[in-house]
Amino acid sequence: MRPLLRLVGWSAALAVVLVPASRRSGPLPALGPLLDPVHGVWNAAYSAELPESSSATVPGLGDSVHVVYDDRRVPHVFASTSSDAYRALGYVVARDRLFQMETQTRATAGTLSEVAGEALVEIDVEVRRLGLAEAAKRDFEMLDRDDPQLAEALQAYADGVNAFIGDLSPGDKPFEYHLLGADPAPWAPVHTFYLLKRMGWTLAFAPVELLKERVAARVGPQAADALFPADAPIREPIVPHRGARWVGAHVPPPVFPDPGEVSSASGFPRPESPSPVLGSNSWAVAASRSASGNPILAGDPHLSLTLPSTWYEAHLVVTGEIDVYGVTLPGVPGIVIGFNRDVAWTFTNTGADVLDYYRERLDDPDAPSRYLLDGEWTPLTMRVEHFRGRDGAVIRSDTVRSTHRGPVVDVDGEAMSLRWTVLEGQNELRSLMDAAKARTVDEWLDAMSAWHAPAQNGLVAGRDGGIAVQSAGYFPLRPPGARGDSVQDGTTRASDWLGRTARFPVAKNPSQGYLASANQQPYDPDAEPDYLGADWPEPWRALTINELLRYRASHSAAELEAYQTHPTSIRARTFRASFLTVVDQMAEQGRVAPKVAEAAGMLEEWDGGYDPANERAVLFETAMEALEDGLWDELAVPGDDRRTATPREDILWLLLGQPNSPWWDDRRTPATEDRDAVVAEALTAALDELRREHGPEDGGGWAWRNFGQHNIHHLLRLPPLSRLRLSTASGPGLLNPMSGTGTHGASWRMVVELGDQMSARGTYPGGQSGNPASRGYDDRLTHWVAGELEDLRFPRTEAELRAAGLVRAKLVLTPPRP
Amino acid sequence: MTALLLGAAGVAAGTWVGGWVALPVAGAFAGAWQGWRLRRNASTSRLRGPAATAALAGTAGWAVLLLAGTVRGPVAEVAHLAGGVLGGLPGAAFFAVTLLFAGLLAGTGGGAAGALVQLATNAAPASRQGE
Repeated sequence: MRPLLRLVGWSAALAVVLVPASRRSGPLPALGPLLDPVHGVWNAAYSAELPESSSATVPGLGDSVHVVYDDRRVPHVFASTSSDAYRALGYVVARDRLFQMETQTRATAGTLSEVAGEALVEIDVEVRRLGLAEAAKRDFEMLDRDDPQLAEALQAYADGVNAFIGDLSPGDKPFEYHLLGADPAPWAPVHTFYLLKRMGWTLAFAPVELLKERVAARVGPQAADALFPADAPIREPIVPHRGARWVGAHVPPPVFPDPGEVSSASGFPRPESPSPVLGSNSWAVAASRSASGNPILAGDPHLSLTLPSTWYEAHLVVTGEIDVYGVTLPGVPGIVIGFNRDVAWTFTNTGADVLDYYRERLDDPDAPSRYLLDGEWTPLTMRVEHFRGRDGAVIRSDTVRSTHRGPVVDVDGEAMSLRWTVLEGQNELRSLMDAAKARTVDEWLDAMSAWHAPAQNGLVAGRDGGIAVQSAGYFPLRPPGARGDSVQDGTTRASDWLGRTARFPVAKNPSQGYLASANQQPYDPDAEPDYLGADWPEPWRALTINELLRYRASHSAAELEAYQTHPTSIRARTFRASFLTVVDQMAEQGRVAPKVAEAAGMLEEWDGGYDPANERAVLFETAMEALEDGLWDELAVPGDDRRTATPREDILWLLLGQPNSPWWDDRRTPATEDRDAVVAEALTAALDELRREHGPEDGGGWAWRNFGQHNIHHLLRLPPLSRLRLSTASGPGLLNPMSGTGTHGASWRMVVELGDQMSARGTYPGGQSGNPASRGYDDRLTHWVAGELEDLRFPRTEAELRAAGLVRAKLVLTPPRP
Repeated sequence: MTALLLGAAGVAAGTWVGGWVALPVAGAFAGAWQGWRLRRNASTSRLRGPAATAALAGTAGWAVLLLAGTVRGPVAEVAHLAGGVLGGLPGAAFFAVTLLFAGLLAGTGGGAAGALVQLATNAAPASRQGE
């Protein structure tokens, strides 16, 4: 009997161990495949570095393609045809960034729950309601008819990605797939369009009308218009016009609604989320303003910083056809920002208002099937979406409804439809492919005429000496009198867009000899009064770079590189002066408290810098926060330390010139405050808070390195795979900007001098490899944190790179044997 | 010792070719071998029972593979990352978890196989007596 019992006991024990070994247990994947030293997560170690020499077979190749990786792990793709080049690019990008490609595709398609489980299904629901993937599919279906050459390029790229996936043994899959217990999905050509739609969502989803409605509910529509104006009060437009202008304007006082009229939804709208710094810088100097006599272009798009990084560097060479270097988005067969032998280009986000909301009347609030349009009930288009879990079973269904304008969404309990250029036909990829082949500035501008969304300020410099900037994109043409910064009436077709505007903001070879773009309002409204958008990004970066470029006769590439991390800003100079002026005036009247004078003295010592060792920048920033807290109490949400919205700082500048404006009264106190009282209180509060929480002012606790920190999260926000608390010389309003969470910043810094030989430097926060165990995962971070760029290799041939001793690895891709 | 060495070699080779399922399979072979030897030679130490032998073989087999892996890439870095992601474990603990898992799976496989051998060899004399 005992042997039998022993057998039963051991068998039971084996079964108990086999369950977690072979099946997922909660968040843990099956342990057997995970821990396997040959085929499991350990495999990430074996593929961490590129083999010196390797080869692979890629179906569809017309000829062999040589991919040479340089000392910075950048692949230089030498191919015979463009189709082969895109096929090879798909292969090499997948080799380094496969997980990123799939994750970002799924995030747009709303299928994250299929790999990450039910926890992410709400994100999927939100995305599918916007209809990004549906729009991508529509655009893609038109491609065979409209642009077969592009369709072929997308297919070639997909073939390359899938050839890499096909070569993977189960153990070779990237690190994150092991953690999730998932396998890579095949790549489809339409996935590229998903990624472009996602970029549109990131850069062109700014519903200013909803923001203004919420603010109007608190302080009245006139005040809302003044706090979020269509025209920036501080102007330094992209299209040059009379230099920098600071245009004062009266800010009408708040008008509070009758409490009886305030519903809980509109009266106390949800507080704003912390606003990231999403913006970008670009500037170019013409030959006349360049120290070397060669045009120079500098660009640094600011985006959410992630690991792996948003961008991937690559160089594509097809003799006689393509020779382009730059950064691509993993999943997109082309260089987005970069240069060829004749032109260099970069982008900043236009931030134009390309999204309108329409208040709809539906027949049934709970299960609507029709909407009222010109007096008739019109059927809604309905689409049922199914969401699947890891095992493929449907875990949620959702009905997405659309009017003729676009999807219907719930906004604070109201049904609104939205029309958005990002959801309409696009061919940005055609623009990028043609731009890569441009020989002159004019050819590059022509290439960008097909650009649709998101609207971008494309800055280009040519070896012929020309420079130009063009805000390319589809700008809605609204009915006369209509503007996109208020919610439109959805019950009439009279509210519908009429088409697209014919004119792009553009400037070419200006007499000032330079161009600069930092997301500011493209036109000066005095020169071009048409509505293009509202609530433009704050003007500080634009002012700073224009000042740097304006007041020196000529600039070298090294100087332009240094400007990208210039340590001070006009914002700091402006508001520091405001603080000190107010305190001086109070001192003259003998009403300065000692602590206010002490804080002002410290600000006076401050050089305006944000280097990590600086011990005064934090006082300024804390005082600015306290100042805004005292000023914008009207927008504070009761019971919450956040506000419905925070107006731009140039509105704060306007109010600093209106010391008795009712806005200065802090209604949370019994007294009636004016500007001076709020400024004094802000300085006192800042000093007290810093001493209380960070010790004495010269004890090291106030060093900016403790506050100015960038946090670069892994796509799955896993701390061991992230790089957090990176001290950088960055801050609000600087050309090297940082938001409160430190999760956004310069995603690719590049400076190109267009001489007889192109000379380029660049870097980005991360590395080429998506493998967290690789040195190439984050090897550029040191340079990025220090504000240094690296030399970019731009060889004409493989031999040129080899002769310079810069070859790190080589991959030969060949067609399958017949 | 023979069972242990053969078991470890079987685990390593089996994992290389077929993956983690080699653990219970090779563990079972090692356990069965050791169980049969125990039946034949009662003087063999009980500490080297089928389960313990198989567990040691599993652990040794995977340890050899991990050790060999250090030549091919930054295995310690992967341990650090994976351990951090899966519960904030230090890298050394992730190594330990991996080897513990190998020992458990191979050991339980070996224990079951050893028990089966014991049952079979107990039954065989009984059936012969019945003849």
